[in-house]
Amino acid sequence: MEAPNLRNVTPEAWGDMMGRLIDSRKGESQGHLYVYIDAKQQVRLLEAQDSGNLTQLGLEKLIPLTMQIMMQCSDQNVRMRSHIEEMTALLMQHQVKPEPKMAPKVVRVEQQVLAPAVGAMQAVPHYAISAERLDTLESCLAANPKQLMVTRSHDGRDGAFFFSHPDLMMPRTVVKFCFDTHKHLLADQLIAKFFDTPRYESLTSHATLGEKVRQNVSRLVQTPMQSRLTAMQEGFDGKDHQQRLEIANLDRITSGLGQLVKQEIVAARYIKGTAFKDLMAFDRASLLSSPKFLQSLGQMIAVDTFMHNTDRIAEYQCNKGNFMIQGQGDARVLVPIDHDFAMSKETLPMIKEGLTRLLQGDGLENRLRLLLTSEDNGEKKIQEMVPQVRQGVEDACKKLIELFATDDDCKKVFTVPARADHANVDAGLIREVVQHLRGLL
Amino acid sequence: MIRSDVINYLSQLQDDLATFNPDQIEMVQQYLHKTDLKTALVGILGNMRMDLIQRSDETLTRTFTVMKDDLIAHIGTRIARLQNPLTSEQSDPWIAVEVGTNDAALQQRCCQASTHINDLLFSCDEVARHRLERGCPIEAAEVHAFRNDSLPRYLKIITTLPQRTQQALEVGFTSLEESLRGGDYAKALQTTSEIRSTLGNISK
Repeated sequence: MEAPNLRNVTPEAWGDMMGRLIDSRKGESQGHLYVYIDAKQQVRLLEAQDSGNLTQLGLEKLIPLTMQIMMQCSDQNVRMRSHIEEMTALLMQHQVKPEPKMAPKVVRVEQQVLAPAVGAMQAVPHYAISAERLDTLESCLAANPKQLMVTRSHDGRDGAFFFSHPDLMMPRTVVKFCFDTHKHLLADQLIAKFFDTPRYESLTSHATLGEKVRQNVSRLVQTPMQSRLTAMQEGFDGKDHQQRLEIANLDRITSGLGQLVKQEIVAARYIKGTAFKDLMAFDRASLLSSPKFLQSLGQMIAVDTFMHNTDRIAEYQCNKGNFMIQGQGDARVLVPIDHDFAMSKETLPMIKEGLTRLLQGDGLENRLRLLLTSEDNGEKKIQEMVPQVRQGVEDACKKLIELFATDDDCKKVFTVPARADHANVDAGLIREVVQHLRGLL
Repeated sequence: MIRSDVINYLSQLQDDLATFNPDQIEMVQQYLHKTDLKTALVGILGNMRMDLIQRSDETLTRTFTVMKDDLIAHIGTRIARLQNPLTSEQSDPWIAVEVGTNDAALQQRCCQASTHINDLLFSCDEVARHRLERGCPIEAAEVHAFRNDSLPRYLKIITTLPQRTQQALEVGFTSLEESLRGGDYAKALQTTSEIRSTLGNISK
């Protein structure tokens, strides 16, 4: 039987596959199964833990993917068999296992290290957060609760939540739930060497502040969003496609949030910008003609490849919601958001191959094709864009070599104070990738 | 609500409108009512903004940008007016009463009447000037509600208002509603101008 393709797998087939995966982990079948994906996006369920050139999809990837696939499904029975809750429970169980001893080459990122761009970090039990963010979020939650405003991003798989309190005239704080906050923070530290980023900080959902954040997000879903969903469902005649999509989206958000809020929390400053996917078509077209922007795009692609962050502009999939544009006219700048540092022994071969291909100019066209819409004057435009993007890739690779000139440089780049028990970077792997880059340039 | 709070909300609204991305549409809708701004333009602009993600339409993009900037400027005028009604460029009988009394409750009611009328006329002007077909029924409904619920209450505040002036205003708003319903943009613009002129003459 041909393996299902991630691009068009049916919710039923996906649900069955996840069911088999869960059963295998419960010990109800012979061996543990793992989900793999090949370059053509075909998905396989295999017993082997190391399957050559295939990429393994861990539970932290499978949960949001499942939510996304189930979103397209209007059949409540199928959605009930999506196994999201079991997968989340399994992942949580996996996460509380004691951390294995670190190899000597691992650079442990120390707690309470000062991050100059963020300001002095305040040491608070259970979370590490800058004094500025702590003050904003705590003031917001302590002030008149009736005036507290919490909204969710209009789109996004898990979404982001915006906290503000207009009475206080303080900047908004963005809050996101995720499993691996340390990966988010590490990635942000590296990207901050290239771009202005949201400066992610972390707090755990069981700490007092995290608990308050969680309660407010739950309240948002229980009341305004649930009422809106009920009202829309009652008035829906089954005809309007746009309305159908909105109902599916709200349903996904309200049903998935119970799981979401069990995760860890990252907080960040609010970026006054617009996600690339939300740009007005006219603005997008002018942006894609800007050499400065295209070079930034190349830099972002190179850094993402370096740390194996695949949820932005990868060769076969593109998340246009994970980078924002800030400013107007010629002053527009690229701001990457939502990233993960995923360099590991397992991903190392893919990182090296990815960087080799990028520097040869391979795969750039595919990436740009995913970025453009039919309105953007496709192929001709791509040919014009490639040289600028490639220049950006080269610039970023040179800068990466400079950034990691010695092993000690890892400590300078990764000064994340959060969750030191999780936050570690393998300096040996970085050295290997940098040596590879030196050979290529 | 305390005037300084309203000014805070209006400033926040100006700030959000400057970028006005789809996430901000939801944010703005949450606190719009706290600004006391009586305009359906925010909703109209929100729908246009979502359309423009897909449509590469230069004219529509320009219309959206101009309307958004007009609204930001209108909010700026509102902030200035709340800070000091005497500096208002707007001229109507409620402002005249507001600045001539020490009765805080009366001042509040006058301010509400004056700003509501100003918001409504501004919104109708924008819809008519930019020939927004989809905006017409929305604004017509706003005028209808205003004519039936708010206008009679506002007119009662000005005890000295002659009967014929009251009638002129009622006729003016009825005509405005009809022109919007019929998509007669020129007539709608002419009517808002006439209403402003009537209000200006009363306050002299």
